[in-house]
Formats: sequence, structure tokens, C-alpha cells
Amino acid sequence: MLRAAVVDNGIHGLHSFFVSSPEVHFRFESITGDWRPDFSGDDVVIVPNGSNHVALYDARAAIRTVLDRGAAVLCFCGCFTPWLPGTYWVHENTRPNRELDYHVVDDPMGLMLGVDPARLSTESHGIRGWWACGELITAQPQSVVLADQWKRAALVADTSSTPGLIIATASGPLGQSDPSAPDDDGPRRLFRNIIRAVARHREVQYA
Amino acid sequence: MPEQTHAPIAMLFNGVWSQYVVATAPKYRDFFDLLYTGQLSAAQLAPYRALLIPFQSDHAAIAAHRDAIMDFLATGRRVAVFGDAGDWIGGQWEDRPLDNYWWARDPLQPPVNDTDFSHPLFVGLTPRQAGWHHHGVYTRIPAGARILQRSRSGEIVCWESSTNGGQLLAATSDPIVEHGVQQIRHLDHFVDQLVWWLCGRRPDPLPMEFERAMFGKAWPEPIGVKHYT
Repeated sequence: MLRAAVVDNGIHGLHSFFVSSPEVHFRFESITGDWRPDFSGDDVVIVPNGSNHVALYDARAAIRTVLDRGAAVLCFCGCFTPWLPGTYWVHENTRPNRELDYHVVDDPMGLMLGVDPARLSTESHGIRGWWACGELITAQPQSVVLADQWKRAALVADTSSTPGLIIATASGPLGQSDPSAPDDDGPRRLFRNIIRAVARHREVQYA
Repeated sequence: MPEQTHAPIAMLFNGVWSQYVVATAPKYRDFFDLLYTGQLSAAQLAPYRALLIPFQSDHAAIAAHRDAIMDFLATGRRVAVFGDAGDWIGGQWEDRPLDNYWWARDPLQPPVNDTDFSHPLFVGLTPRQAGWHHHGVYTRIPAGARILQRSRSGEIVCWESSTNGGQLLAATSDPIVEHGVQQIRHLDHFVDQLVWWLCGRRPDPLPMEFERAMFGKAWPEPIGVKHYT
């Protein structure tokens, strides 16, 4: 079972978005006024949507320590400060979200296995551009898994910037509110694929 | 020593990207100074004409600074709180299922469908501009508070109280965060009106755009470019 620390920004609803399962146990790491996080017991640090990127910038050394020992950091938020090695997020609205279409660029970890990119472009009520916005700027172009038709990165999986695994979305929220729900071809499956990729990465690290 | 100047509105900042992108957008940066929640104090608030607390704030952390905010109100200034603020503003907030699909499913039944358009915050806005979705409702509000918006099931979404000296406006909507997301493209109207209600000045009536140079920057750095004259 993976041990995951979810960075908790004190916003409503966060805990119900990360419900533990046999594959992954979530603990919540609350940001306080003098935040000095200890991630030494965690296999993965998760930065959920709506997180505090000022506090994360202050804690960037702790994040780097996680990655330097080969563990994983997942960011499902708009990381507008440079706390994540090799990647940050930029917002822009010159192109309406409703015109977004995603496609897979390269997926060596199988993150998009069984996931229809169209489900990330259009949700079940037909609303387009609902999942992510802006773009990820990465120093590792080969890490881009998913991009839109304007070549803006929406999902990266980076094993080059550090000894660890970094997976980031362009603010697209992911989580696990119902571990027993059947697989879909959208965000639920994407999150489960990411958790499997983190587990495989850990096995390789500890082999 | 150089004189420090301030924007008219302090926006309480929980480090959230959508709050950041609105406050640093060229259209709004002269109106907002970001005030990090952990730095909140009476002295920090003193120079500002108004305080804006957006959705996705940490209300447990803010509640520890309640006295500073109430003292700020007592000087006759304005405070607008969006989201799930509860006890610390004298209200009872309760969660409700979020309906942000209404305009695709049934555009004639918006989640917020009863607005008091005589209030200055809503004067001149269309119903579509004044209400979108909401995150929960208020089941209790302070005595004497004026109800400004209700949900389609009749529950309280927005209210205003003047019992603390100034004007405290609370709503379970999320104008700053949604404006930052840009999924709803017509929120300039509401946010511009909110800015005017808070500080008496109105931004240029142009769509908000973002500046790429504001991203990937270390913190803290000057937010806005107006701090020293």
C-alpha cells in the first residue's frame, strides 16, 4: 500500500476527495503559519487542486528531499510559483476553454491507458474545457503526456529532473472520492493509473 | 524613507492560483493587494478601504484574526466574504450539492434565482451576471441582516449586515475563483461591480487578460508595481 501525504490548505471538501483504499492510504498534511512538513514517511506527496503555492514555495526544499530519495510528487493544481523542479504553470485565456481538445503525446507509463482524452475535454453534461486550463511549462519536453491542439502541455510525467517521479496536471483536479466506484474512461481512471505508476516507480526504487 | 502606497482593496490570499491570477491581472492589479492569510493583522489592514475574502480561503485560520477584521469593519469600511465562512461572521454555513451544469441542463432554472437588484452590488447587472452556481447556503444569519440572494429552493445565498459599523457582505458564491478559472467568461461584469462597491472605483470595462511574466516567479515579490513612490 502506498503512503500518500495530501497537502491540506484548509479549504472545504478536500478530505472527501481523498478516501483511502487498499492501494493507497491518504494522510493530510495541514499547512500552518510556520509550516515545516516532514514527508519522510511518505511514498508520494499529493498537491490537490486549490492548494497554497506560497507555502509550497517556502517548503520547496522539503519537496526536493522527497524527490531526491526517489519518491513521487503529484500536483493537480496550478503551480504558479517555482516549487516543483522543472515545471511550473501559466494561465492564459486567449483561447476559450470551450474549444479545448486534448491528445496523447507520449505515454510510456501508461497513464492514459483506458482514458479517453475527450472525457478530459468534455464532461458528461457536454461542457467543454471543464478539467484543466492554462499550460504547464516544463524543462523536460519529452515528459509531456497530454497536450491540447495548441501544443500546450496539460499532463507531464517527469523522471529526468530529479531521481523521483513528478506528475503534474495543468490545474486539472484528480482524486479518489469513491474507491469502490467502477473504472470510467475519464479522471477516475487517470488517477488510478497514476497511483499504479507511482507504485511501480516505488518497486523499481526499492528493487 | 519612501512612502508606501497601496491598492484600495486588500484581498486575503490563501496561496490559491485562481486568487493569484485575478489579483495580478493587469486589469485588476491596481485595485488589489494580496494579503497572505498568515500575515493578517490590524496593522496590515489599516491602509485599505476594503477587504475581500475569496472562496477557497482557510476560514479556520482567518477566524483567529476575527477581532482585527471586526475592528476594521467598525471603522465604517466594507468587507466581502465569499465561500464557506460561518461562525466567525455570525452565520451558519451548510454544504449543498454543487450544480454547475444548470446552464447546459436547464438554463431557465439557475441555482441562484432570486436577487435583490436594488442593492448597489447588483444594480445594472442581468440575472445571468448576478448569479451562477453557489457552494452551500446560510441557514442562519445575524439579526437584522438583509438578504440579497436566495437559491432556487429559497435558501439564503447572499446577505449583508451593518451591525458592526461598516458593511459585511457574505455570499456562498465564488466570483474571484471562477473569474480566475475563466470557464464562465462573463464574470467581468460582477467582479467589476464588486470592485466598485468595495472601493468606489471601477476597472476598465474590458475582458480580463493575464500576463505570462507573473507566473513562475518566486514569492514574495511585489504584487502590483505600485508599492514605492
